[in-house]
Amino acid sequence: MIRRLLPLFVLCVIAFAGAQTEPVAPAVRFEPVDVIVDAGNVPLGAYQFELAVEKGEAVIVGLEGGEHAAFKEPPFYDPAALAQSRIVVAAFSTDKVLPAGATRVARLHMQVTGSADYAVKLVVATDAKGEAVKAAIRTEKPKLETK
Amino acid sequence: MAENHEQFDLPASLKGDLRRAYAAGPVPAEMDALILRPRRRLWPRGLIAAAVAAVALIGGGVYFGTMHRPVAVAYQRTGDIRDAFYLARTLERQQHVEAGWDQNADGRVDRDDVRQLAQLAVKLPAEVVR
Repeated sequence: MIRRLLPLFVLCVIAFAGAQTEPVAPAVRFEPVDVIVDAGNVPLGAYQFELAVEKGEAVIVGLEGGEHAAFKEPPFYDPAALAQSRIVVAAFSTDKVLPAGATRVARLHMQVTGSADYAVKLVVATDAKGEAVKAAIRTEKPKLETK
Repeated sequence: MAENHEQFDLPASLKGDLRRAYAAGPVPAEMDALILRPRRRLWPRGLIAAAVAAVALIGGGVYFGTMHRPVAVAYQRTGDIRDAFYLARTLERQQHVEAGWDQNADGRVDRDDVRQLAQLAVKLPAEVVR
C-alpha cells in the first residue's frame, strides 16, 4: 500500500515545493535622496562627498543640483558612477552670495529594488576662500509633493 | 643841589650800621651758573602721555598687522574639489596662473582646466566601476 502511494506522495511534494519557490520579483521603484551639508555660520564655497548604498539594492540613475542659487547647477560626478551603487559628488561656487547653515547641495535619484540605506561621507567642505571648514553632512529622503 | 645832598645825607654812624647789616659777600660761581644757564624746556605731562600712547598704538598696529598679514604661499594641491575651486577663483580674479595648471595641455589655463580638475576629483577608482 505504501509502495503504491509513494510516487503520488513524491509528486505532491514536488508540486508543492514548485509552487512555493516560484520567484516573486521584488518591487522596483525610484526614490530621490537629498544630501544636506551644514557648515554652520560659514558660507559654503565648495563641497565634496561620497555616497554609497550601505544596505539593500540600489543604483544611481540621476543627479541634480542643490536648493541655493550658488549650487543650482548639477554638481560634478563621474558618469561611470551611474548605474553603480557608489558615487563621488563635488561642486564649488564663486558667487558672492553663498548658502550658510543646513543646505541641500544635491539630490540623487536612485533605482531601488526593495529598500535601501545609504552612507554618506563628507570629503571636504570649504568657505568662500577655499579653506577647509568643519561641516556636517546627512541624507534625507524627501517626500515629493503629488499634484 | 649840593645843599640838598648835604641836607638829606645820613649821619655817618647810621651809614656804618647799614653797611654792616647788609654787607653782601661775593656771589658764588654755582649761583651764577644756575641763574645764567638756559631754562630747561618742560613738556606738559599730557603731551608726553599722548606721545607714548601714539607710539604704542602705531607700533602695536604695525606689529599685529604684520602678524596677520596673509603671506603669499604657493598653493599645495589637495587632489579634491579645492584644486578646481582654487583655479576658478584665481582665473576669476585675473591673477597670474602658472603653466602647471594647464591640465589638458592646450597651451593655456582656462575654465576647461577647472572642469578637468573637478572631474579628476570625482573620478571613481577603476575597481569600483563594474
